[in-house]
Amino acid sequence: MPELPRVVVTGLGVVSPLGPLPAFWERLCAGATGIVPIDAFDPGPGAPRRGACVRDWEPKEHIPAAELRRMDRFSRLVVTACRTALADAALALDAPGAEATGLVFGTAFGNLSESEEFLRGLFAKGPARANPLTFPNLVLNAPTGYAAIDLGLRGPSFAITHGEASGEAALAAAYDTIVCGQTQVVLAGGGDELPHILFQVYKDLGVLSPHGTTRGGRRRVGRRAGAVPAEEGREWSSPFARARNGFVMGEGVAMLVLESGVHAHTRGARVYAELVGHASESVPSSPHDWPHPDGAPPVATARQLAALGWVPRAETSHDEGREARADLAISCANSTPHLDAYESSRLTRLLGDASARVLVTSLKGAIGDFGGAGALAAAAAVLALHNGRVPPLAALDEPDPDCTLRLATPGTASPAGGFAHALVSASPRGGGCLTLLFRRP
Amino acid sequence: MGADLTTPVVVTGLGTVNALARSAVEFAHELRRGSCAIGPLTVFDPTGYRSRIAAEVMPVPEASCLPSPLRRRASRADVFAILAAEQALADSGLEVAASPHRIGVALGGTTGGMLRAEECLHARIEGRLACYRPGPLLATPISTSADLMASAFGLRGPRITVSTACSSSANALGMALDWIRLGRADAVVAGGTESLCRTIFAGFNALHALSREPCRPFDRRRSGLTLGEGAAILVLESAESAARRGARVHAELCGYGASADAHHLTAPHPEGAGAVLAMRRALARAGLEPEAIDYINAHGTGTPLNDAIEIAAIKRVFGAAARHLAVSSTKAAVGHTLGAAGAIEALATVLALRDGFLPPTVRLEEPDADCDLDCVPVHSRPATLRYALSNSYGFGGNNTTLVLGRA
Repeated sequence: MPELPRVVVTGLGVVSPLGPLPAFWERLCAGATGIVPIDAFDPGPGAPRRGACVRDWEPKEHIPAAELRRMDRFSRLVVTACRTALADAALALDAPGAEATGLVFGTAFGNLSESEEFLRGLFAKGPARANPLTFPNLVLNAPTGYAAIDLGLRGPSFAITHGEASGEAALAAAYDTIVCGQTQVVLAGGGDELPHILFQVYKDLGVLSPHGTTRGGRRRVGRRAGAVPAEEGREWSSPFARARNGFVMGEGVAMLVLESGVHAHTRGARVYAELVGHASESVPSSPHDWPHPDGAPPVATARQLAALGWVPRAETSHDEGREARADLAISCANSTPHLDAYESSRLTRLLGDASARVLVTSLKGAIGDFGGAGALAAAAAVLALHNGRVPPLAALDEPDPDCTLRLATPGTASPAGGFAHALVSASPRGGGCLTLLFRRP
Repeated sequence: MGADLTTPVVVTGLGTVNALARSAVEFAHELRRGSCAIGPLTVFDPTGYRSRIAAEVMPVPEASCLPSPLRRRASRADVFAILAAEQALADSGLEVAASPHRIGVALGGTTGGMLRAEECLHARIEGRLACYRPGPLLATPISTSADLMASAFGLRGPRITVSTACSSSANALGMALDWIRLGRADAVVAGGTESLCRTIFAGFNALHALSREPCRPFDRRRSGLTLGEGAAILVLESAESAARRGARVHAELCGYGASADAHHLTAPHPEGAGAVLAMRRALARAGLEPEAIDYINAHGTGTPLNDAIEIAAIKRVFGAAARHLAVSSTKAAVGHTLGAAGAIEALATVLALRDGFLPPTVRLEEPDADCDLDCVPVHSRPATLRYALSNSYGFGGNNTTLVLGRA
């Protein structure tokens, strides 16, 4: 049986609360945060009132005016990321190339703002006045539809939705699309917006910082909408911190150009990293909550990673490389008591003997949390492999004493030899866990 | 467990809840009879809509296999999915507990728990806070049904939800096929689910896409689609795994092809460029020539544009062989179930292959000159079928074709 093709990352496009590339990466490594007071809408009385909102983005600079008119904001974010990723990959697509190129995008909620607007109109004015121009923008695959039109892409095109792991799930699906031989090139990634309605719902549920302190992840169901809570703590996002108190909502989109190794080699492309593969495992969990920290260990994930060549050894063996390199794990920990405890437990058990040489970080302190955030984590993993730097947990003052992982604090030096592997770990509500494995080429 | 991209993948379990039937056995029976399940819209107040008909699942059966806290929170779409999966798993005889990590979930859907979310949003907007619960708004993510399914049946393999509008569940079946071939799973509980909701109804209404009369695909008088709801779940399994445990094989899933139109968000490409690519890619991946295909379960929505372009695309792919094809649309019987349509139609195709009949286009009485293939009008016919395609095209220009074969 012929060997499966290798899949490499040759381009990155980011629109984020830290700006586009290269600012996104520079600010991330410098420990900057994108969390600011929300001004896109009125966050209502009391905390929370902060979010990680996209900055330094002017859609006009990326998308022709004629296309912009019809496109909703979410699709504009995605099309911008697609265009910048293709440019970064220096991939000029001729007609047959575009016809074969795939597009896979992951989002938890899609264009929720316009869904709400559409429904408000429907409730207020009745069906006869519902807006036919808005409606097509509400489907989760509208952004891929617009991107396909903009770039002329006719390859396999999928919108994936997998809760907080939607970005990782899209990259996994894109990887499969290439190794199955469906196509040689896929633009893949994910993202979500920070819509008012979702902010309001999370606020009502009491899961946002500073009110998301309940360790069991229990919801404050029944909290009156708009009611001002009595106590006001510090509103921040600090994954793995002892004093973490809920997540901060963010938004952003990242797209990666994935190519078969042969395709990238033939065109002489710069290769950032190799996407070695992915591991998926469903952990028993309520569909509405994160898995329990004391739940089943990630044995199937460990087995799948081993099959991809990543085994948790304390040191890299001599025949594996010239120098012992560290590994990096980018966790989905988002400053929620329950999720971070689960991630800490999951990674501790997954890394095993390798714990000492694997640096663990999370981007959520800088970009907040949103459904497609994993695509930005993947972009960061790729850049960390490419240039050997580690984006730190910038806000981490005092780590959770229960967490024994080797956390990348602001003072942590990047390893001299760079990183050999980078894992991106996703544990969404509902327990459909995913792990992406990248390797330095 | 290794990857083998040529490994045969078969269908060993079937389940459905739709307007026409509450099980696959009933569905086969009703398709043969040429029944139509389209009736008055009652799921929500139909006042003000141009069209007031739909293919509803009424009453909604209880998902008694769910523990009560989960059952209370389950949306209409969740319930359809759970019931169809329960049937499909029972039909397959799979022992989930024996290898839970080797069984995945792949679902398609477009609106998930939107119906109840709409009510909550309405309550919040109008300040009726006693009726407002934020929970259902958060249960809107379409991935909830897959999460619930994994939880209810203890499925611990890979999990994914695809949302490419009306081709969602065809893509979910395709990805499940790839998983099995890549060795990610031995079996996948795959399909789609969809519940009627105001958002979709109002949207299609505003686009003038809904027919006032029950839809008539390929008919000269066709004037739009009729929305429906329901779920279909297929248990896909590697042929090796099925043979090892002596499972009954309903059909084979031979391949799939996906494409984007790159043309317009709602209108199909005028030459059906994406539809042609999807069919060609599917045939290529299945290693089949067009001549091998006996039947196509068409996307066939009943809109003037879709049907004419789809038939033209079929002719482009099949050339002279198109004259020997039967092409029908089961949407005239069960409505257009959007995210579930690909799975419900794949199920209809499996039943056609297995039981040897052509499902009819039930209300096709005056064939359109533009749709001049054998569209199996009104009545089903017995037929020996070897291979069949199932086409699904979605908003956003997403096209998918599945290739199915007789066991």
